[in-house]
Amino acid sequence: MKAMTITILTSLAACGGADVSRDVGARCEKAADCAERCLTGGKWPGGFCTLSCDTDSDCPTDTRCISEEGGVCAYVCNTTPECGFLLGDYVCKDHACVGP
Amino acid sequence: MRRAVALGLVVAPALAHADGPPAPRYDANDPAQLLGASLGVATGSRITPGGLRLAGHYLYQVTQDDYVEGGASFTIGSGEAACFHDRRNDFTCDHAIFDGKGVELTGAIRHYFAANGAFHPFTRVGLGVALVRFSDDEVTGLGVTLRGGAGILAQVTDGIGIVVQAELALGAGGFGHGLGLEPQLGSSVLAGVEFSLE
Repeated sequence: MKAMTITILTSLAACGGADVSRDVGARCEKAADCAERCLTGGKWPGGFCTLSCDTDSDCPTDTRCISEEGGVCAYVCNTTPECGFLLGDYVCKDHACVGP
Repeated sequence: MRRAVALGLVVAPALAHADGPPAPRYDANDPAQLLGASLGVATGSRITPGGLRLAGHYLYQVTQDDYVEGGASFTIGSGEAACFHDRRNDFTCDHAIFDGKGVELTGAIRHYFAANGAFHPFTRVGLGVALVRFSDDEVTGLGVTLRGGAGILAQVTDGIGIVVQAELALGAGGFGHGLGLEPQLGSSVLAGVEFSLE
């Protein structure tokens, strides 16, 4: 079921692209730049706004909940080129766009 | 005489024939003057403020069917942040329709059409200059808009009328925080009272 969900999400992301927002994806330096959290450091090049989550349903469209940082939303992907819109060195790992 | 003309402006809609003027014959030496106050809702988007709108205006009759209008309005919406840096590091804003605050000065021409029973329709075209603020984003700007709308005036009692009007605003504004020149696009629906000054 989870694999099916990921496949559907990645398909949607691939078809429609993903717009960043204050919720997920915007560049940031501090939490005030985002709706909730700003992830920084080498794993999040340029800073990455995101939301805390426990399950995929806590995350916006085109994103899923990953276990990093205590549970955060990250863009879904199948291949690294799909993470290209984030610029920097984001790669696709376990169907989520994260830093190298 | 001045009192009769001024009161007639708001009385006339109820009394006028379908093809009649909105007010008694215009007298250049004794034009009608009115004050009005209104309350309603303004909608914005992206970088245009929206929310509760309070407005006040002054009307001065210049021809039989036309009035010059000057006014000020306050738009009070949420201060919630909605601006961010995209992945190219461009600063962009995506506010909802009821975000932001604004203070606006407007100048307009109101033109009346023939009455329809107790109601008298009009159109309104003007310009506005607004100071706009989105507090949580610390974004401030100055906008200039062309405004156009329509409304209806109806008499309530002698010397007092009720006005309902809708308006669209289109223009541009200069904003800080690296936003630069941004479009301004909004609308409003207001209801209020007008009364003669005499």
